[in-house]
Amino acid sequence: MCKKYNWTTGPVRSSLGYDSTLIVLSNYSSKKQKVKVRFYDLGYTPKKKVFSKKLRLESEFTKSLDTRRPEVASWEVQISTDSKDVRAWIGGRRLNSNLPGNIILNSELLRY
Amino acid sequence: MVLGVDLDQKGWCEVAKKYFWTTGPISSSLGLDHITVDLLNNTSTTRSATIKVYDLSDGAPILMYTKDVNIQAFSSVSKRITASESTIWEVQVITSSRRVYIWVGGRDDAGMNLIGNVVLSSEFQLLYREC
Repeated sequence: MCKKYNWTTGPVRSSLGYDSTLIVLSNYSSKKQKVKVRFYDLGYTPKKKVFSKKLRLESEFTKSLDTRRPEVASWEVQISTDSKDVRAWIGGRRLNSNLPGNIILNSELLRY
Repeated sequence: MVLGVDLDQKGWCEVAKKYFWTTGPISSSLGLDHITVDLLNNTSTTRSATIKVYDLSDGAPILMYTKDVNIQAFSSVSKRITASESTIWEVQVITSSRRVYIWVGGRDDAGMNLIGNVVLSSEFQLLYREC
C-alpha cells in the first residue's frame, strides 16, 4: 500500500522586502523519491496556485526551488511525497536573507 | 459514545465542532505597530472562526479585539489589529475545523515581522476541543 505524506506550512504573511520563497528538499531514504511542491498566493479567493513542480530526488540528495514571486503578500507551500524520509525547509527571503516569521523548519510543517 | 459523539481514550471527541487555539503570551518587540492574524481554510466548505486578542500588559487579560469571520473554501482572510500600546498580548482563535490554519505576526508600521512576535500554524497550542 502506498502511503501519502501531505504537508503544509499553513498561511505565511510575507515580511517587509520579501522577494522569494526558497524550498529545500532532502531525500533521507535509500530510494529515489517523487516529490510534488505547490506554492499558493493567498491574496486570491479561492487561493491561486502559482507554482507547481514535480521533482525526482535521488537517494540522499538535496534540491532547492526558488519561487521568485516578489508580489505575493501571503502564501502557502504544500509538499506531497510517498515517503516520510523526505524532509523540507521553507523560507521567505529578501536578497538571500531569511526573513523573520517567514521560516518553516521541517518539524514545523503540518501534516494533513 | 456520549450524546452521539465518539470519544477517544482521553474522553475527547474524534471530530470536534470547535477548536480553541492560543498563541500563549507574547512580549512585544521594539516597534510593534499592529498584529496581523491570517486564517486559511483548506476545506471545501465555508468555515467560521472567531478571533480574540487579549492585552496582558496589566496582568489580568483585557479583551481588546474580537471578530467573527467566515472564510470561503480554499481561501484566507486577514485581520490587522492595532496594538502599539500593548507590551504583552495573546491571540486566541476558535475554528470549526482542524484544517483552518492560523498565522499571527506582530509587525512594525512598515510591515516587517518582528522577531519573537510571529506564531506559525504548527506553533499554536490547542487549549481544548468542544464536541
